[in-house]
Amino acid sequence: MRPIIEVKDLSKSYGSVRVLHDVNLTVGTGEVVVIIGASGSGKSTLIRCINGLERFGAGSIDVDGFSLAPSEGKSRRNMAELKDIRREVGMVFQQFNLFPHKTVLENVTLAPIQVRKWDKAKAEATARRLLERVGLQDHTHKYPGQLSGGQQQRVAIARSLAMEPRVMLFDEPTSALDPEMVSEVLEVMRGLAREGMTMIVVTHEMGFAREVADRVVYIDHGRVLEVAPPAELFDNPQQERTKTFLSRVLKH
Amino acid sequence: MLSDLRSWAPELLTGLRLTVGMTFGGMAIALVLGLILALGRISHSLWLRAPVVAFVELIRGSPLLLQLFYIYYVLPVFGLRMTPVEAGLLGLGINYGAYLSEVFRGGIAAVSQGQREAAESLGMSGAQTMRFVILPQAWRIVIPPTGNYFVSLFKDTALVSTISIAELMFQGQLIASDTFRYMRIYSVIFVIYVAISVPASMGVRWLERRSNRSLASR
Ligand SMILES: Nc1ncnc2c1ncn2[C@@H]1O[C@H](COP(=O)(O)OP(=O)(O)OP(=O)(O)O)[C@@H](O)[C@H]1O
Ligand SMILES: [Mg+2]
Repeated sequence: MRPIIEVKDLSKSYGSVRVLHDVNLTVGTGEVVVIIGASGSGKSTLIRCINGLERFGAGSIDVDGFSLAPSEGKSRRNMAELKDIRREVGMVFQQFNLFPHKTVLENVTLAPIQVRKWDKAKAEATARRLLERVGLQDHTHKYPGQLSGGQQQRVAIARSLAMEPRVMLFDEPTSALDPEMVSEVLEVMRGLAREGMTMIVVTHEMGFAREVADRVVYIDHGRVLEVAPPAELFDNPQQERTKTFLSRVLKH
Repeated sequence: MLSDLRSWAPELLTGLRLTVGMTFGGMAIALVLGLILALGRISHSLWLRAPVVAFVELIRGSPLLLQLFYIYYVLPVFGLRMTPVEAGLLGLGINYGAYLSEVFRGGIAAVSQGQREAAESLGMSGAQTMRFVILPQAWRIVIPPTGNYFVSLFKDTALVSTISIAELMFQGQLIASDTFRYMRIYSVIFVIYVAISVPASMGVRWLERRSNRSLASR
């Protein structure tokens, strides 16, 4: 499997607090990697570094031949570099972050029209196809506030996919949802994984991780402690800390 | 009383027209300037931010009347000569622009960080994010306070009578000094201002309720 993401010796601090320590992570094309770890361990920070939402102090990040350099403490960032990376990487947030003043269809077409310079007809055709794929073809003219959380998150996934990313990042995509809506979002993600999308998913849904992930990464206090296929990591963790963490989350 | 009114009507109407014109003209300048100042104030560049902050503080820290006098009487010394109406529009526009810039800055800041991040992660530039994501949402937030400033600008146009602009207040003073019917003419002027600004304020409050409701339903 050709690697598409390579994170090397990544370190990041907030002020004097180090939140990522020499993180190394390689993700192959089409691979699904699930990141687990306690609250505050640095999961969000790691994936936010990958699409340049956070700066980092040392190390490097490569996505499909484009690279991000450390920029912590610098006043300016290399915008060209950021633009290249973001074209490759889509992101789905815990809080959906849909644009509330735009309809579902406009949410999905905005970036393709403005960033990719597609004409409106092409952008709308693509958007309708994607909305159908996430099961929302009947809601294109509603506003986000008129949808349930699960529906909003599915729109957010379609919005990201519209930019045709090579990689999708998910930061706890189901944590803000009522329990009965979790499965509809996971179902969409499962479909993406089946079709070969490269994905990095931060989640507490251990069932999803076990079923869909190729590898699971356990992060503890900003360090990658253990990486293994789900069956191995869940059933036979090598590190004491991983055992403790798993016994805590799997009990619930 | 009625005959007085009838004989004053032409002057009062001319004055009122000018008052309304100064209000809209001043507001147009203030809106544009306010947005520019707000964007300057949130710029990452200190070279842009520092002069903007200094300018806004200068304007907010001094009386509008003094600013009008400064523009009308002092700027000509530096070769910037203006008609009274130009000076009045500029003075009102700058003064209200400085206040509106703070309103706009607050509105922009009130749009959540998540909105910015979503736009950025879709590859949108800073300018695109501002234009298509932040400003349309900030605009809803700032409509009510901006409306209130609009009404208060309408009343503050009375100050430009001091640089010999013949708006409503100025016409009132002329009539008063001609006829010595102070109570009658100033009461009429009073009624005219109130008859316009009170319904306008009510309109602003209606807009506010409506925009709250539409935000809540989204
Ligand atoms: N903007 C910030 N400023 C300072 N510290 C921060 C900031 N954002 C995160 N941190 C700190 O960085 C550490 C890692 O945070 P991060 O959000 O990556 O954790 P997480 O694993 O995603 O946790 P959670 O499961 O709660 O989402 C935490 O200790 C957090 O307090
Ligand atoms: Mg997190």
